[in-house]
Amino acid sequence: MIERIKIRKEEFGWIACNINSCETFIIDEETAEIIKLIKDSVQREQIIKTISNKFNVKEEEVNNIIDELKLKGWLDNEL
Amino acid sequence: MDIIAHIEPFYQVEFKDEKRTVKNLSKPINLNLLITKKCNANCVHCCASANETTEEITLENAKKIVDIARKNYVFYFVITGGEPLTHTHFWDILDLIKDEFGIILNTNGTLIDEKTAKRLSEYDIASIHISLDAPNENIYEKQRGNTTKLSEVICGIKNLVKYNANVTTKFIITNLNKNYLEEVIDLSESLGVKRMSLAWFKSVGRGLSNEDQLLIKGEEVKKISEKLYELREKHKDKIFLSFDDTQCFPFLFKDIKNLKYRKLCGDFFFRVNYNGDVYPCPFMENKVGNVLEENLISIWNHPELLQQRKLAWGKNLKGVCQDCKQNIICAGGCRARAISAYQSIDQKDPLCWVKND
Repeated sequence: MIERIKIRKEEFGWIACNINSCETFIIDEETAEIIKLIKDSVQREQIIKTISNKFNVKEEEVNNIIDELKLKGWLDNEL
Repeated sequence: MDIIAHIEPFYQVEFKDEKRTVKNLSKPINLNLLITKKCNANCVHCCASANETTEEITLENAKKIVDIARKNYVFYFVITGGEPLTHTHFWDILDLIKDEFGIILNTNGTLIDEKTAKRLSEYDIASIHISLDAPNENIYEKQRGNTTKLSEVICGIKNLVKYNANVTTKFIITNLNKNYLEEVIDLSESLGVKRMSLAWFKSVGRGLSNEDQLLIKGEEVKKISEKLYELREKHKDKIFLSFDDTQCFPFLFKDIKNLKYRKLCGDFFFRVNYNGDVYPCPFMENKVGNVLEENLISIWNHPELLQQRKLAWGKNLKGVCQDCKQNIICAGGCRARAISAYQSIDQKDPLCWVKND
């Protein structure tokens, strides 16, 4: 599902679109960075480690965020 | 770190403490791409004047436009016509777009047999918008001519619903069908459709020459709008009713204290014709550029589009709109209708009943 999220920067901040639904959202810079990282990663473990290191947060917290993004429909269930 | 709190729906205008904040985009979010002027129907209200010519986009130009969209981080395409399914390369065009862009498809639904529905359902199309604005063949024929049938539309919708495609029925409100709103809402519900979009007729394209029999004005618009507000509440558990012409609907005025955001018409997309010509929206006939010849961002910043955007934010309106308290919400209504009625982009929408000349 993350492959179906497109993001871009505007003067007022980042916007993202779920191209499955064409719904467009405003996201903050940190979220944009995380989406980029998730897009570049292949496995959940790798994503969690990378994001955890980059943002200096616990792996458990990143794990929860990924679950939340899945609930929101932004990530597929295989991740 | 609370990510979800930082994912908010995107709206151009935010209202807070009686102040308005406008978010201006550097380029469009979507392109409304007219791929063909051909159509198997002959609607009296057609804004695209379909069938006046039979020109359509070449596959080569479609590829170029998709490349331009990619380079400019456009998010999705609205594929429209004429009837898009009559295009020789319809499926090739979908194939060009499907992996990288969202898709919304506008169709009259009459060419969607079971095989076509199955194939469409495999494309992850966000919404297939199907014209359904008549309760019976008689009204359908008056509005859409006799080359297609309501029964074909119903069959198309049934086929799509069978394959779990996301269908939105579209109702263009005219003098011919204004008394059948609830019947068509009931029909949509019975077909398993979960979303219906309504818009007022606009006197553009072929509609301009049929304006006398189609256009609804003033107090009658108010009366029908209030009916729509009731219908939206009555049917909300079964079908979601959305309104393209939000500017003119009294429910907005009723909900004004709770209004936090407003999406703007023509402020996040533009129309691209089969030959690359760009128009501010599907209902305006003033060409502002050509994406195959000019830079997309330059066109987005064309003086006429900048002027339109300021008007859409409720600024620089003239006439009765200038001092109207509602203009912060309605922004004067539909600009295409203002041009059609008064040949001026900064005058009021002729459908407005709030303050008459």
